[in-house]
Amino acid sequence: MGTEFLIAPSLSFSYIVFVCLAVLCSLFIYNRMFSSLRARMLLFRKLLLLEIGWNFCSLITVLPNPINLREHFIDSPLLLNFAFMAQTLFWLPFGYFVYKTIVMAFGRQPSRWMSIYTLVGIILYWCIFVGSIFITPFGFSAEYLGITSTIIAYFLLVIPPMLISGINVFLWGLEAWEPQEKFYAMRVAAIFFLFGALAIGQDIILPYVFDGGPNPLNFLKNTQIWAAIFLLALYQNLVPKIEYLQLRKLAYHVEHVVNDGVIAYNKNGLITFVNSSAALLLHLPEERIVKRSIQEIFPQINVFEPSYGVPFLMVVNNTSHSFQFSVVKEAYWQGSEHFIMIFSDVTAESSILRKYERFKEKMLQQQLTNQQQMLKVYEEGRNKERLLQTLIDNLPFRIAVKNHVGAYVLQNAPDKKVVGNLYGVTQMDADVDDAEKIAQQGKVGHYDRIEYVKGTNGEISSAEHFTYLPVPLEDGEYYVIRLVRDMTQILKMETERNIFRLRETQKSRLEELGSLAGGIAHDFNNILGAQLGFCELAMATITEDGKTYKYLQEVEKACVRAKTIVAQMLTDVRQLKQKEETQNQGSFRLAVLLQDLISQVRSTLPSNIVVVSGTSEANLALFGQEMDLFRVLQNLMNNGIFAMRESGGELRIFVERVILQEPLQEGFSQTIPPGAYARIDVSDSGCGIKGSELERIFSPFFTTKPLGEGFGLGLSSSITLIRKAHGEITVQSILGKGTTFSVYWPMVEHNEGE
Amino acid sequence: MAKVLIIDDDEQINFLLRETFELEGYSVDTAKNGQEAQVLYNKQQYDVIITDIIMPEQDGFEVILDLRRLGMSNRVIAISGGGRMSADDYLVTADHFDVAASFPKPLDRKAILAKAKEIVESLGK
Repeated sequence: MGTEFLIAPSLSFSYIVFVCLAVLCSLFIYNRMFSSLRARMLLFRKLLLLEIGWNFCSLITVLPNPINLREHFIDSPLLLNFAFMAQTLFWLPFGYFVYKTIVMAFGRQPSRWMSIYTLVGIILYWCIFVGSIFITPFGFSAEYLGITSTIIAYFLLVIPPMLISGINVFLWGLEAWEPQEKFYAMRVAAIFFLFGALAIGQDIILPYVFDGGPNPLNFLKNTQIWAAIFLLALYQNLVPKIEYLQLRKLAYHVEHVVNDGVIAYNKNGLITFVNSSAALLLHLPEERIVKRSIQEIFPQINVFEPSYGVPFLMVVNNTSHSFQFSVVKEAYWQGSEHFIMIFSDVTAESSILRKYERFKEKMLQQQLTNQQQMLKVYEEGRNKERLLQTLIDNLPFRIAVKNHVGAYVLQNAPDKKVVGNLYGVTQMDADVDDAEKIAQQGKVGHYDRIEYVKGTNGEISSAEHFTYLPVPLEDGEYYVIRLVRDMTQILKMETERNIFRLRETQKSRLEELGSLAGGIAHDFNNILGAQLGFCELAMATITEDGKTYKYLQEVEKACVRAKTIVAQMLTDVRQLKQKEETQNQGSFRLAVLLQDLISQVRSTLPSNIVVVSGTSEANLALFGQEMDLFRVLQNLMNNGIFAMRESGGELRIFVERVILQEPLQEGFSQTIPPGAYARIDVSDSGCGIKGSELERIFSPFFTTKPLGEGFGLGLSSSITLIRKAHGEITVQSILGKGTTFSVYWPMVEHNEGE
Repeated sequence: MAKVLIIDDDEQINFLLRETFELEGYSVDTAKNGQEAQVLYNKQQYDVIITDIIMPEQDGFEVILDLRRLGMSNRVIAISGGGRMSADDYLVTADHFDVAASFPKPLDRKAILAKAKEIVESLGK
């Protein structure tokens, strides 16, 4: 019986096999060459190859005679068996490969147990089959064992994986919520069951019904056919599935990795695919989106026109978001036009962009401000320079600035006048004095020297004070400022002050001398008085003749001489003092004094009084202290103003040179000795002074002013000052008309000193 | 008998003047300083008062002023030996206070006596 099923079947078998082979081959070629990348199912290809191999082997065994291999096979059972074994290689793992392909096409991992099971099964089968050639246990023949094991193998190794696949696919279809997935799963499951049913029906049920039993040959034939057609059907349905799965794999990434929302919809707007990002962005659950149409979700967009990167605004979750979308038309997916919309929320992006724009703007502005600031600083610097230059040019002393290598960097006008414009010039070492050299070392401080110029008479005619001031700069360098101040005036003043002090000490010494002399004189006068007096008394008590009288006369003479000497001494001292005072009194010019006086008076003058002044003399030189006369005239003018405060009027001050040939005596004033005087008349047009008061007005504390207006010391102190200068004051007044005070102030003959 | 009061810090001058006036028949009292004098002239009235101006307590002027207050300026003769200023200066100042006369030292006894006599006569004694 073993060779029976290798007996040449009816012609139809080989024909069938040939056709199957042809179909499968073309399928394989088609798959290889014409399907899109996405449909390249390598696994399916393996499956196809397997099937092709199976059919090829079958073909060999049924080839027509020319080759006559069959006979060879009939003749050599080993070879025959070997050919048979070769066939088994192809159909035994068939079930497992189908299982694997299906499982992987549906994106699942094939179970390892299945592969182990199949492998173990194949090995067992071979063991039995090969072993049956050599061993025949249990009295079974090799044939029997062979056939039985084959049948068992077929049912155990080929059918179960396929069954399991079919059931799994069905179950996956059930659990899939995506309609497409469901659709395809169900189709594949349907194919499985259809073919399964057909196979069972034709190979098992029908033979039993009609033939009384299964016909192995028929079974074989039918299996080949069923397998091929099954594959074809599978191909039809798997390819799109794989396509879909590829997409789903992509979609997986799209779903889980990509931040953009992806929605696929058909030409009617029915949404067929949504990724999780889309749901997130739209704030809607995936299920809700899938059930709606695309127009419902994006009413404002033309969703059927391909576009790229189009911005639009949408309110999501009560806030306005900026989106960007692209629409891609995917034609002929699932047999109809499909669109895929990819959209992203660019609100953040746009806000980032806006922020970036703002940042850029700010930076630009900052730059501009910086530039402006720099310009301002520069301008300020220039302004300061100008200010500095103007300022220093108008200072009354010389200023020069040198940098740390000794070159002139700045000079003021007076300095340029003396040494010339030396900008940038470095002085020779020899021309730099020691103080400057030390200053040029850069340590901050005051470095001074004074240069004296002696006149022809050996006295100092001028002096200059040089000051050097180092100025540290920002960059570690330094400038040296040179100030040159004229000391001549100060020196002269110093000299005068020294002389004055000397005179003061001298004066006090003279005063001391005077006191001493006076003290001695006082005592001496007493002593002399006593001597003379008692001498006289004694002479009166005795007779004029006689030696005693004569001796007493001599005593008297001696006393008289002593008295003369004392008197003379006192006179000398007094004269010395007077000479001192005369020397110290000094002199001054009248013109400036009058100017100052009048301007001062005018500044506080009431509006109803006018000051009139005049002088017939240019600039008289007067004796004494300038301040004294100033005070006197000030007093007189204030008195005049006070007298006219209600009535208003004219305050006149006139100067005249007067030479008295004879002593002058007026009113209650003292006699004015002859000499040259400046007569200063101060007149007012006030109420005048009563005759009875004229005598007393120079007395201290005499005043007609009301309480609080004055102490009445003005005129008394004035007269003291006048008389100190050996001048005098006279007054003339007419009641109701006015008063004139005339100050006679001695003049000096020639200018002394200042 | 006319009464004279001599005020001087110098004892010899006091003594001298006492002798001089007593010889002429005056009744003489002396004082060393202004206070002593004050005690004396408050007790009794004098016809002539001769006072030194510069005394240790500088109270010659005080005496003169006081006597002026008492209305006795016309009986005062001021004398001075000078000091820092010349005697004349002091005496001129004394004149301002309406004393009867002033004399420098060393004294001219005869002149003083004459003046005292004048004063007494003018007082109607």
